[in-house]
Amino acid sequence: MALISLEYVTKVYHNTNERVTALQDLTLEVERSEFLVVKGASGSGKSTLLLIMGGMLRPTRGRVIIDGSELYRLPPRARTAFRANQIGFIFQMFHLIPYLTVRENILTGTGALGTPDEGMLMEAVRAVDMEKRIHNFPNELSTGEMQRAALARALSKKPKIILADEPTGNLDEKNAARIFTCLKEYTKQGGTAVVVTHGPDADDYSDRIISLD
Amino acid sequence: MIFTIIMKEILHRKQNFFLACAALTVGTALYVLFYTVTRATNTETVRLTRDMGFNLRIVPGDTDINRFWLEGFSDRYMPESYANRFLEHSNLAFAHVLATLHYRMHWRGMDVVLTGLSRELEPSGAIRSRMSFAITPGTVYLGHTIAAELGIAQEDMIEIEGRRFRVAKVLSELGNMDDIRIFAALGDVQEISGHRRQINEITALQCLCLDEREDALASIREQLKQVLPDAEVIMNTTIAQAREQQRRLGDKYFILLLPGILGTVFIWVGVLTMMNVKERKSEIGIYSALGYSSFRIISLFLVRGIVMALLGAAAGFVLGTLLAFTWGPHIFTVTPGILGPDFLILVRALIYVPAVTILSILVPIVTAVTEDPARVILNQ
Ligand SMILES: Nc1ncnc2c1ncn2[C@@H]1O[C@H](COP(=O)(O)OP(=O)(O)OP(=O)(O)O)[C@@H](O)[C@H]1O
Ligand SMILES: [Mg+2]
Repeated sequence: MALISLEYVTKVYHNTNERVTALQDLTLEVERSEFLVVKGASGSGKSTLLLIMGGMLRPTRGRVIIDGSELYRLPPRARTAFRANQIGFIFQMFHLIPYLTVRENILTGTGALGTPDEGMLMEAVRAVDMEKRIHNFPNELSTGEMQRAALARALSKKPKIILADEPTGNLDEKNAARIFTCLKEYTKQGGTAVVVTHGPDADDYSDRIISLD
Repeated sequence: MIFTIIMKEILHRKQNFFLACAALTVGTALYVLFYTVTRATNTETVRLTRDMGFNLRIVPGDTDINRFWLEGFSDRYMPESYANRFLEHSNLAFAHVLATLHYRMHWRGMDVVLTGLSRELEPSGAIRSRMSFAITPGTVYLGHTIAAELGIAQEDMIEIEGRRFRVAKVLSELGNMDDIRIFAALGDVQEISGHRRQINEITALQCLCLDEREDALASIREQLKQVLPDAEVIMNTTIAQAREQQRRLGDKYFILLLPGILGTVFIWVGVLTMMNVKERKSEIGIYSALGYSSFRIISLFLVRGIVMALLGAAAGFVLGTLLAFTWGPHIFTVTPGILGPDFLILVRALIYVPAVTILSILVPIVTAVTEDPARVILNQ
């Protein structure tokens, strides 16, 4: 059985005077340990898809089943706990907490589970090669380092799934390659990655590429 | 973790935190100032009232007030038991109730007033400091002028209407009618004047009538009408009351100002928190994506507010107490010695200020956190 399976997922946004259909009857399966790249034009619903998979956005219709349980049938508390345990998000804008050091930022990852885990912190820091920068604040980092710190935050709790929304959108080729290499390593060790990207940079790392157009 | 996050955020956005804290400090300080000074003035008014002497005189209802003032006392009588009845049945708080009988007479070539005083009547069981002297039957206290004119000294024996009395004390010069008074036990004066079991005045110190009602006299009259239908009350305006009036004037401005100031602080703190929350929208989104529950995210903001409030309350207490010391004597005409820090109000401030702060910040916080946090964190 697939780790993630979406059945006829539709998302309609209701605005004050318009309705936008961001996703229409999308059916999709993602296997364990798969590196899936999602492409599509701007506005095709890529970010919407990641939010739905991560338990952050309830679809208008359809079912989302992860690891055998239907995500949006869970009570909100259980869904929050699911996110804390199983999902790591990374974003184009990094979204590090500006007043926390790299180390503290990474600890907020395991902190969501209860107590921050120092052991997992160091493991994640080594995986992204950030040992030397852990006592710096985000504004003291290069963009490449910021994204690696954000990736370490996601990796530190050893989630089943990493959902990345254009993680290399603000990075140069070299830094982008470092991020994808880390993500590839993560999938090799059994993790599952769903990566949204515009360009072809991730193609070489992917197991499969889909388009939402 | 949560506490680290809160502390680091406070240090990171010092300005917002400081401005809110300052507002809470000012609000608390003004309240503490007001409270401390009010408490001191109440104490002072009670004390002054007592020092000024009796301020309520209850006389028989058919007294001719014009003659009352000319003579200095009423020429009508009422039963002695009225004094007890007054004490037992009146709802107002009175201290030092005395049954009194004044009797004017010609004595050794002088016009004097013989004043008989009962022992002080106390509401059952109450213990109070005696403000008047208890006079033993068979003895008198002699007014200064009488003693000087007639050359009478303490421990002399004198005779009044065929009765012998020992002069227990010669009073020092008081500069009022008491200088031509002979104070004796009520029973003795009743015998001499032939008014057995009768009195013509109840004197009382009305000590706790500091409520907001402007016309205390009217309410006392109202009460008295029920307890003693055929008596009349006369209240002398003492310096104490003038002083109280002055204080009330000070209070009044404050009472008008205070709600405005506290309301402003309330809104100010709410708005600053709203700004803080708005600035941290993406943060809320991240914590949510990381799997922090809404409750934990809300507590990040709430605890920040409580820290703010506790600091503001403590600083406000110190500031308010200092202000009371410096301004109290001038603006509120309180004797400086009466003022003191009130630690009960510190405790109260440490409870109320955080409670009110939570009320002020809860809505902006909960609104922001429960509002869909998903979109803010994604690429726009
Ligand atoms: N809260 C919202 N209310 C209304 N419409 C929305 C909302 N969020 C997204 N949309 C619309 O839904 C569609 C899909 O949005 P989404 O962000 O998922 O696209 P995307 O593929 O991630 O785009 P991009 O490549 O620009 O990031 C877009 O047309 C967008 O305008
Ligand atoms: Mg997008």
